[in-house]
Amino acid sequence: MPWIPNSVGGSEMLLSVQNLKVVLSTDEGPVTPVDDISFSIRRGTTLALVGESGSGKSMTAYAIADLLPPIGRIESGSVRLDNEDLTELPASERRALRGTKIAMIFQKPLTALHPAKTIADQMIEMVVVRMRWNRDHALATAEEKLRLVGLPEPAKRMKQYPHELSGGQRQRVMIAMMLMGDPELLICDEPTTALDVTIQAQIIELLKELQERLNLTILLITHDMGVVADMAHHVCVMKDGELVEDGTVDQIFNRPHHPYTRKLLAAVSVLGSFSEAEEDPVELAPVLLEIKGLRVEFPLGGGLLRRAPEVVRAVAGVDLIIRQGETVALVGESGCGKSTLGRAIMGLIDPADGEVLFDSRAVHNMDRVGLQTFRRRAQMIFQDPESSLNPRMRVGDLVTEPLVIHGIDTPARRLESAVELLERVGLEADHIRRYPHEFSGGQQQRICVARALILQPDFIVCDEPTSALDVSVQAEVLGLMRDLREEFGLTLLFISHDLAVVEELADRVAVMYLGRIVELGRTAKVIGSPQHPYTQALLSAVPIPDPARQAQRERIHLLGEPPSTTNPPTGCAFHPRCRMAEPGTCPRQEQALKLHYGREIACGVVTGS
Amino acid sequence: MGEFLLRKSGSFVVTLVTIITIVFAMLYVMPVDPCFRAKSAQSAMDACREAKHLNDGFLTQYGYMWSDLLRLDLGDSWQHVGLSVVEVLSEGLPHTLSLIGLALSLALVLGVFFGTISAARRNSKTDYTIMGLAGLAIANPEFVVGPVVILVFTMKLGWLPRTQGLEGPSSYLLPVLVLALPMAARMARLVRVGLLEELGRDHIRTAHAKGLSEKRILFGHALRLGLGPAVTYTGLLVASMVVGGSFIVEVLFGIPGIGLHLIQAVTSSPIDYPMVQAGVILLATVLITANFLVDIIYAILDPRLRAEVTGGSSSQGSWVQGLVAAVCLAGVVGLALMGAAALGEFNEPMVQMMDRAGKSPVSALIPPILSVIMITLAVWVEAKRRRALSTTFASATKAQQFWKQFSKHRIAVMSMATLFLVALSCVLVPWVWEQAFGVQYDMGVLRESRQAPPFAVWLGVENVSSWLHPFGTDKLGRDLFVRVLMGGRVSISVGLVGFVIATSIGLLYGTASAYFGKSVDNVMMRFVDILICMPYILFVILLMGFAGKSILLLYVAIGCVSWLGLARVTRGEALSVKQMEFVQAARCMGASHWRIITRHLMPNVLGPVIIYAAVLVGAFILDESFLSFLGLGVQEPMASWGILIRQGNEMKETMWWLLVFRAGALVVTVLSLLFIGDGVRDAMDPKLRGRQ
Repeated sequence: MPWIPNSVGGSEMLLSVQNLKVVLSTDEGPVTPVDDISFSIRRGTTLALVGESGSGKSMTAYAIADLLPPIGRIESGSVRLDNEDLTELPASERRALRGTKIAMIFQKPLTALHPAKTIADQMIEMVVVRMRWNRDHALATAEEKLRLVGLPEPAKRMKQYPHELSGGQRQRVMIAMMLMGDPELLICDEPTTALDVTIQAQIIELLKELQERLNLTILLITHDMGVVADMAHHVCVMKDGELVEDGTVDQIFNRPHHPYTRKLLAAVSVLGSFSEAEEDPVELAPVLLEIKGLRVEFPLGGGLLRRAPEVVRAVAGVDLIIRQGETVALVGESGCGKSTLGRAIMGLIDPADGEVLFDSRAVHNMDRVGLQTFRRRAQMIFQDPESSLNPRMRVGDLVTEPLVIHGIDTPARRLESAVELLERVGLEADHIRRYPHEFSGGQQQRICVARALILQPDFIVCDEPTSALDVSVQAEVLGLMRDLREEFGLTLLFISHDLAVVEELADRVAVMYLGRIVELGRTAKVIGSPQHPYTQALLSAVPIPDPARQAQRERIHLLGEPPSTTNPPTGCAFHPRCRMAEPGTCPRQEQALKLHYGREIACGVVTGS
Repeated sequence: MGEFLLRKSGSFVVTLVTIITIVFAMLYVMPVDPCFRAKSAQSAMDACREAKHLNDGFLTQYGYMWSDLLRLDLGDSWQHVGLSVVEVLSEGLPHTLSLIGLALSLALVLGVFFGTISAARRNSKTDYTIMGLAGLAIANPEFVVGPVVILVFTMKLGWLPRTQGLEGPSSYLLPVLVLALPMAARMARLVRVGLLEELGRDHIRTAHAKGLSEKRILFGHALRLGLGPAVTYTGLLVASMVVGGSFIVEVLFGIPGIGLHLIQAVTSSPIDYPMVQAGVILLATVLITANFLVDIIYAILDPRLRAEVTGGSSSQGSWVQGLVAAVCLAGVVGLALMGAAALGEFNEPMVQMMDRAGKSPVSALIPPILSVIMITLAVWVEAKRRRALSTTFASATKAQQFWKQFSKHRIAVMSMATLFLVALSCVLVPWVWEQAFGVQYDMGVLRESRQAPPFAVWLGVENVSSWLHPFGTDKLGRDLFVRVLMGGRVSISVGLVGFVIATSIGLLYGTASAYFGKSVDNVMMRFVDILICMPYILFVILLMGFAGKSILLLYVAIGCVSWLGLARVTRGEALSVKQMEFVQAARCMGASHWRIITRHLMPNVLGPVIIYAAVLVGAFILDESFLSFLGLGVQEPMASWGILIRQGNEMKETMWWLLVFRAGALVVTVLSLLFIGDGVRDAMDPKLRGRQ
């Protein structure tokens, strides 16, 4: 039963959607991704359309903006913008509205911008071609808009190409570009999903600021409840094409009615909701993995004989000890080197310097026998479950492959083990005959977990195993991993960019920035009272899915852009963006980890050295 | 951009030097004596050998070759006594260049124009018509279209004058058109595919969000990048089509260009080696230059390629690696040539052996057995297809999904049936004929000669045969129908052999290269890059010069160069599969290199590669026909479509039916293969179907 939207007296409704139904004519027959949706947005406010993948939220946005794919059409219902029904208008008039009244920004800023045109060309195209502006006037306006969105050095950026800018900068350009026509409604389709947490915080701040200054109305499409809590005034929850709940942000978060909404909120990990007793284990378990001074570098193309080839310093000197039975989390934003570190530990990448010792034996110089043993005892689970499974192999073959490679057991016994494990992770015995594409993302990841466990390893590296999954599924998979960890006595290295997820699972946390560990300690300590300025900014940037707390938080804003890995800053890598940097010492000294209040930190200013 | 140019120039020079070295090495090893004219007197012989430095070592001769080359002295032509090679060629150069230049320009204009229209109106009648016509143009190579066009326009209708060579604008019309059409068709198809891919990208959606018109999006946004694949292929296009195609056109229309001279040089006896050497070097230079220009144009179109810091998956590498590749290449080619020379010794006994095998009772049973196998296979495939159609999409396996999508392309399905019928007839019918009529199909009854096909009576032709000879007979009274089918056996077998060799070598090579990556990959791909620059026509010519003409050598020649393009495509696919995490997962499990390559990489690379290979079969069949047409491939009394078409060409004025049917068989087969390739490609790539 659809919810009747709360009509709010007072300011007018800019957008009013009534009984919207969208139909796609696919090869397999008609599909209805949006079925009888109704909501309204008041001018100058933000409405968040929330749901998991397949809920129809993106299709709704496309229908409003008239960007449906050729096989789609609005079957019934109305979309009223300023009391004019858009569905009644001819196509040319609807097209005229795009960019002038309704603007839209998308998820992946790199691919959304034309790779072969300069920023300036892309920005002025719409106004010059459609509205016949004078070119100089257009360029001046473009530069003004770029300044409005907080892009430093706008004149220089205008002449550059998209691939020369960072992710955050590109998204700012997208926003500026779409503001050229001074639209009234801005539709944002997952605008921050592809961005780092700190950059995400910047973009959200920007959007809120723009809303205030320009009286912009925003329709926000997202699956991230944290972003919703931060930005939205009103929330509509969608599931399978239907609107299941609708209310103010306060109502939805504190008094959710519909069971799906409750499930969604419950599945979201809230940072700071776990508190651990501060006790150190009496006996220290033996060391399983030790990393000493690890450096990993990638050469780039370029450089003829006379110039030294450029190098990406992905991992720039890391020391870490992991003991048996521990779960250590490695967190950081994109480009910090955490995935590279994970692969180097597994021996998939050779280090430029330093070593990795597994059970006191160096991983990278092992002989064949040693390597085979290592590969039995250490396994890895990857981020994208679909691409982790060979699409041409059946599930049974996939899960038993490790046994086949190591020549263990008879084929009959192998199959038995596979079935056992599949049932243990929540699948069924007859799934062994099926192919990966027949399963959902969550199920595929379970198959990967089963495959990782079949050799009964001691140590598993989990590289963002839940990042590619829907929120409710994430919680299930994490729960599964927690149980299996107990049952199998596993030692885990858990790599993630999501601090909330890490808080539940990890004993210790290592925070990475630009290839180095900047803070390392017990989870409760690091997350509860972070000491390193980067950790503080990182935690501050993670949106909390609780609007009241979110509004009250003291935010530490990280300035600037992530640095280049080929040309890192001298001395302490973080100093250009650090609010506590001391101009005399920080650019000169590289910082090493030092003990400080029960954890290790790489910051001379804080530790007073 | 500067560094990019420098790098490209470097590889240009290395490639050119390598090819010149290879050509020199080939001729050095060749068992011919440049001083044969002086055989009469010993003193003249000595003087000649002295003058040509033939008594010096390899490296000295190599050095002399370079000094001669740089002075543009390439020796005297053996055919045209008294004329230096350079003189002959420079006379022919303007003809060839004007022909090629005009044809290329026309092809580009037509190709881009029609390709764009086709993409803009995808899946409409216009689209299908244009693509159908393009297919037709490709399947009708120059040596088919040429004679037909001459027959119709010059001989029967008399619209255009009969001239030899290029004099006056009207004499340009036909040659340029004949050369340009297949190129234009290929370009149009590539432009269409490239554009459709580009239109499926995210930034097009942004352009729509800005409210821009469809036209502006197509021309302003999609076209520039969508032309990318077409531009890249233009380089290869110039290699294969211009060199080969222009030869044919020059031969057919009697234009005294480089191609004509080169063909004459190769088919004369003894072979005019200095001419061949010079011609090969000249043409190779043209090709390498074309590729070089293509790379630059591509970089202009797409600024991402200009970036100094790419780190992409391009096979650039350092020039040192290029040099290593070049040296390896030279070594391999040397070995291959010596092998070929040795093979040449085996030619005669081989032919005799095959002949005897052909007459044994066992071989008489092969056709029916083969037919049974083919029918069973066809029935099985059709059953799978039917089954796939009846399952729903969601529960289908990947293979079944493929069949469902493929079946939507009705023309492709029809083509499969057509191809099967043609192949079956080629295998079965001659055997049946022989059994039924007891007459050896290649020996006719002479009194019934020169008979036109029975239905020609409607066209008012006299001397019509009975229905016993549905295609008529040739001038020796041999039944044409069966001869065409016999020719089909040879042509199709060449296609298949080429396919098998290309796939087995190319697949493994490309996958291994991608898997091992970095230096190994760079060297292996430079190897391929250099070899691709050497047009296979020239390679075959040289090979033929070496070891005589035989069908065996034909197989070898085609096999040697056919795998190159496939290796490249495979490598590209394998590189993207390699990024997938299941390959990393396999390494984590401790899988051996072999296991990863065979069980993980290759099965996932197979899809797109098969499409490419299927198209290749058509290309091989065309290549064989082309060579045979020029007199370089299969020899009489064996029949292949190429030879038959050549004979048809000779007799086209009086016995036009000879040409029509033989050409028809070739065209139908190649066209079917083309459409099947299309169907497979569309089935595998959802974006090209126009749905999202």
